[in-house]
Amino acid sequence: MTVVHVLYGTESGNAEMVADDIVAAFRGQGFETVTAELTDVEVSDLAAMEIAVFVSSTYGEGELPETAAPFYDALMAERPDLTGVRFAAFGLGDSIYETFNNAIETLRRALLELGAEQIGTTAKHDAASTTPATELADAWTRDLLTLMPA
Amino acid sequence: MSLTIEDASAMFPWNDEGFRADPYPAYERARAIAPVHRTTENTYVVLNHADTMHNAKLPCMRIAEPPSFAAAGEHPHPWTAFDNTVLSKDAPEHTRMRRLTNRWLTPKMIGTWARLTHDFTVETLDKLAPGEVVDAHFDLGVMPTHLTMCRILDMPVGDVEGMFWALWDAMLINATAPGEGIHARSLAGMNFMFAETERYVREKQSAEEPGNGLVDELLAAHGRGELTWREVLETTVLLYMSGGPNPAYLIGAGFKLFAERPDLMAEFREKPEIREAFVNELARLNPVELIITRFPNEDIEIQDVRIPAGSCIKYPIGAANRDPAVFENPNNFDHNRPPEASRNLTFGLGTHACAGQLLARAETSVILGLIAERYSSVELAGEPLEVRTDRLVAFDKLPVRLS
Ligand SMILES: Cc1cc2nc3c(=O)[nH]c(=O)nc-3n(C[C@H](O)[C@H](O)[C@H](O)COP(=O)(O)O)c2cc1C
Repeated sequence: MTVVHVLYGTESGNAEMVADDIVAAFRGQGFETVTAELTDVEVSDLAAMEIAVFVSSTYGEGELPETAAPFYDALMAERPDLTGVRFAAFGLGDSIYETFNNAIETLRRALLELGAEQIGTTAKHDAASTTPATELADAWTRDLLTLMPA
Repeated sequence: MSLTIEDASAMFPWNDEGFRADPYPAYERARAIAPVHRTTENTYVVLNHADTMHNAKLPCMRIAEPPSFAAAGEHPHPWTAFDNTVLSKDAPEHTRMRRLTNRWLTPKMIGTWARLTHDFTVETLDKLAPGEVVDAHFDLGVMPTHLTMCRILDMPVGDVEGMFWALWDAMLINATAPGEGIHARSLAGMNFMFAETERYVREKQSAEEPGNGLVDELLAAHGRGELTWREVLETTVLLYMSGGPNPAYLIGAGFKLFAERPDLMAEFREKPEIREAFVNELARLNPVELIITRFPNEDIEIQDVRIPAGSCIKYPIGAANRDPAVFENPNNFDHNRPPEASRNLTFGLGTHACAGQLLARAETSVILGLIAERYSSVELAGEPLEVRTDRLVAFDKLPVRLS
């Protein structure tokens, strides 16, 4: 069974909740899922992942969550060849900030630069909207599933 | 339409008892004239939902009071006691302080905490004799939520009533125009809260074994030189004091609503899926903090009113929360409002939005859920007593009989 790694970076747990929602939506669709916080992910493990779903909020002034920043820094320092890795991206932010959803863009750009290929569209949840993150996560994952037959 | 400062100011009698008890007609009258009023040389009041929701959270809306607003006369301002917390900081310091609590109040953790609230409430309810009058404010609002916060922090229960009123006194100084003697009373309340809390934190610090709460994490960070003692203490006081009093007002408002509207109590019992929207509507109609104050550090324009940098902008929460442009029949309780007509300002917004709001909402839902499930009716056993300023409201007594 294809393993989908759901990797999240969070400050106050919303991205963690979204990661759980994504895993729930994958259930019964013919994939095995593994969830991890970016703090616990080694850059060297990334190249071996077939499919990785990145979930990250933006914090401070357009930054990655504090606990996810070391992963990104290591990624940029080690620059592994990610050819063959497919990833999807889900961001959380608030449109009141000019740096709306910067973090997921930052991650996405880095992954593309290193040769990974993105599946589907980048979700950008807006805390200023009336859509609960859970709802967007559900709908987005369902769309994603149509692009990746098990 | 433009009014003189005197005319505009007269529309907001902040210290009037009648206005404090029911500011909504005044907000409505003022909003009908204009959405933005200038009430002193450098103070503006914004009344409509759209502008409030947009403007109050702009990064230029600083929370820190510019020196020009420092109250003349008595010093220090009692609330300088919280200068090293999220209450008084803007980014990037605010972000650093906010991170101290983020991990403890995630959507996932809230489930764990709400189960504690549930158990504390059950303990109290189990002890009630049939027909016994209970203070829904203190015994079923303040206590279970304060006990929950004590577990999050790993702090002792302490003098709950003494601390509740010390906080109330401390808050009095934040009224728009506090009266005589308030400064001293506020300072005394603040000093009491800090002395009590510091004593407990010192005890924890010198304990053989560290505890497992948020305060222990702050103490550990202090030990590593990452937080000053003031940062540890001020953040602890802030959390220790917000755990009970704030959700208690929302919970009390729920008891009052159940007493007035048995039909809604029945719906709350029978349809768990409406509880989140129900609590949100309860929050919309019953804000605890009544005015959000910000100081733009750039010139801005709201509805053609030019507001210079350094001004004070008041956003009365009740005004935005009952703007008829967004909320049909704004004074009616209606938990079926569509999502785009249910966003309100009760927990603030943007970067400074209440960090504990998920907890407060969950606690309210759990306590009201227990009441609705265990009893068929809530009856007021006396007139509910409230205390109010233009900035804050709390119950004093809310005697009810549950049957
Ligand atoms: C202090 C603070 C700073 C923030 N900065 C940004 C930002 O620069 N850009 C953005 O799009 N969202 C920003 N946000 C909004 C968060 O990304 C949003 O609330 C998100 O849902 C948080 O998810 P999390 O709990 O997983 O961290 C900020 C929120 C806070 C509290």
